[in-house]
Amino acid sequence: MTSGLSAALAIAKKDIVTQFRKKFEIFSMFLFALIAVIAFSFAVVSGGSVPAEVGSALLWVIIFFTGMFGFAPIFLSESETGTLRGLATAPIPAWSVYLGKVFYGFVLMGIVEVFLVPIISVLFGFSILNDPLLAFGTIAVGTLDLAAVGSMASALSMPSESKSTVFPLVYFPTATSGLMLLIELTKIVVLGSGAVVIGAGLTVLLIFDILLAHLIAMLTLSASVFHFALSP
Amino acid sequence: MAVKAVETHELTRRYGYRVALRKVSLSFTTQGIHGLFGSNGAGKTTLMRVISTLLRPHGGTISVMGFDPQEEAEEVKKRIGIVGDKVLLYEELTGFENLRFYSKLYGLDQQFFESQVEELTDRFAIKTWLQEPVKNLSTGLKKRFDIVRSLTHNPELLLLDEPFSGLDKDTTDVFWEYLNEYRNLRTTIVTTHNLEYGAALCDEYVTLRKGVVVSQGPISEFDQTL
Amino acid sequence: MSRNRLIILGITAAISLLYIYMTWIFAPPDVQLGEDVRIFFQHVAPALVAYGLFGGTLLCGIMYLWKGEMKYDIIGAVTIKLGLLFTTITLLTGMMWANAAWHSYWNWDPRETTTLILWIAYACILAYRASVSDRESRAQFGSIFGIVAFPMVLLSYLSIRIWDTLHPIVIEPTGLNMEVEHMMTLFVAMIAMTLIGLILVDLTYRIDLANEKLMRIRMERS
Repeated sequence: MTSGLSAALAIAKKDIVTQFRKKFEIFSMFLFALIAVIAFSFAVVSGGSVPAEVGSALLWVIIFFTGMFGFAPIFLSESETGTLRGLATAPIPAWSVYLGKVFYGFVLMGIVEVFLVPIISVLFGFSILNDPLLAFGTIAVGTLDLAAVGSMASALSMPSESKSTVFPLVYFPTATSGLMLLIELTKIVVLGSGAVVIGAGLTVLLIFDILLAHLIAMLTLSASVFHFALSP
Repeated sequence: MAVKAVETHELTRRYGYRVALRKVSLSFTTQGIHGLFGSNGAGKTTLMRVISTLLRPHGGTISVMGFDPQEEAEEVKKRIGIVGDKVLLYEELTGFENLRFYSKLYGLDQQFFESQVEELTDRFAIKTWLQEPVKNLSTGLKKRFDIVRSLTHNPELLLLDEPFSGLDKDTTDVFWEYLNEYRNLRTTIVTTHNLEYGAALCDEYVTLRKGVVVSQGPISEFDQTL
Repeated sequence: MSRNRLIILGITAAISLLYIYMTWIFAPPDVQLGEDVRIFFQHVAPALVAYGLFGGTLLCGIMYLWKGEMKYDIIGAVTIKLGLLFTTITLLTGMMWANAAWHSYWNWDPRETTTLILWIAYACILAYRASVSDRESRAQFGSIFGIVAFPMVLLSYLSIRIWDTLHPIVIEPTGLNMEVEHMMTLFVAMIAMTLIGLILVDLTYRIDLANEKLMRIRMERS
C-alpha cells in the first residue's frame, strides 16, 4: 500500500516536472480558457453584464472544456512514446499508475484554475467568496473529480484508431454527471442557498455529499479496473 | 535446481481473431543467452510481452522464474529487465532523473541505486551525459541510457527485443561485451531476425514461424539455411 | 426454435395484448390530463427497461473483466444498443406527454436533460467501441467504459430528487401516487416491456454471436 502510494507520487512528480520544463502546454491551456471566456461572452452578455447564475455555471463549463486539453495527453502521450510500457512492467500495482496520473491532472488543472477562477469571476461579475469554505471545497473536489474522469478517459482512448476524436467521446459522458453537481453547488455559493430552489428536503451538504460519492465511485471503479487497461 | 527461467505449455495468444501464438511449448534454462528467432509476425514480440506480463495468454500455461506472470505479476516484474524497440525514457528529464524515477518505481535502496548507476554509466561510457536532458542526446546515447535503465535493478532475467536494430557500432560492441561477461550470471532472452548476430551470441535457440515453434535446441544444431 | 422459447414468446404476446387493451381501453381518463394519460404508460415502462438494460451493461462489463469470456462482451454491446432504443422511445413519448401537459415539447427539465445525456453517453460508448478495431481491446476497454459510465444512470434516476422539477414524482416513500386502475395498467405495461426487452436481447445476441463466428471463420481462413 505505502509502496503503491509512493510510486503514485513519484509518477505525479515526474509528470509535473516534465510539464514545468515544457511550459507551453499549461500556458496554452490557460489561453484556450480565455478564448472560451470571450466566445461565451458573445452568447451571454446582455446590457454589459452577465447574470450571476449563468456566469458561475460557465466557470465549470470552461474548466470542463479546458480539461480536454490537459487530460487527453495524460496517457496518450506515454502510449505514443512507449514509456507506458516502462510503467506497466515496473513492479507497482496498476492503481498506483492511475492514482499518480490523477494527482498530476489535479495539480495541472489546479495551476490553471488559480489564474482562471479569479479572472472569470471578475469578468463575469460574480463572487465565490460568499461562502469560501464551500467554494474551495467544491473547486478542490470538482477538479479532482474531473482529473479522475479525465485520466480514465485518456487511458480508454489508447486502443482507439482515432485517439484525439475519441477522447471527448469518453470524457464527456463520464464527466457530465459530476459537472451538473458542480454547477449546482457553485450557483449556491454565488447566489446564497436561499436564492436557489432545490428539490424538497435537499440541503447543500447533501449535494456536496453526492459529488463526493461520485468522486469516490469514479476513483475506486477506475482504480480497480485499471489493471485491465495496462495489460490487455 | 529445477526452476526454469521461462517455461510454457501450449501457450496460445490471439489478437482479435488472428492467432499470434499457437500452442507454443518451450523452456529456457536459467543462465545463458537464449535466442528467439523468426521473421516479422512470427510471434516473437508477442511471446516477449506475455513473458513480461504485458499480455494475457488465452490458453496454456506459462511460468517465469517459477511465477505466473498474470497472478504474480509483481514478483515477475521485479525480476525482469526489458529493452525494446522504443526507448523508455522521458525526453524532458535528464538521464539521471530518469534512472532515479525508475529506481523509485522499483523501490531500490538509495545506496544500491547509486553504486549501480556509478558502475553501469561507467561501463556504458555515459557518465558525462547524466545531467543532460534526454531530448538533447543522440539516438545511440539514448539507447545506452535505456540499456542502463533496464539493468539498474539488477534483473535476473533480461528480455531484449531486437536489441541491435538501429544500434551504432560502438554501442553494439559495448553491449555485446557486457552480455558475454554476464552470460553465466544472468538469463538473457534475445529476439532477432538477424540470424548472424543470433547465432554468434546465443547458447540455445527457438525458431518461431507464424506463431508455431518450428525448431529448438542448442545453437550448435542451428541450421541457418532453414 | 426450442419449445421454451415458443412458450415465452406466447406468454409475451398474450401480456402484450393485455397491455394494449389496458392502456387504450381499460385505463380511465385522468382527472387533469384526460385521454393524454395513456402516453404515460408508454413512457414509464420503457424508461425503467432502459435503466435495467444499462444496469445489464454494467454487469456484463464486470463479468467480462472477471471471466474474460467473449459472450459477456457481446451481451454487453447488445444491452447498450437496446438500451438506446428504449431510451429513444422514452424520450419521444416523454416529449409527446410534455406537449400535452405543459404545451411545449422540450422544457429542459432535469429529468429530460439527464435522460438526453444518458442517451448521448451510451451512444458515445457505441461510437467508441466502433473506433477500436482490435476485438480483444474493444471488449476489454468497452467493458471498462460500460462500468465507469454507470454513475450517469444513477444520476439520471436521482435527478428529479436533486433538482426542482416539473416532472411528477410518481414513486413516493408513502407509496405510488396514482389511481388503482392506472397502477394496474402500469404494472402490466412494465411486465410486457420487460419481456419484450428480454426477447430482443436474446434475438440480438444470437445474431451478433453468429456474426462473430462468421468473422472468426473468415479470419482463420485468411
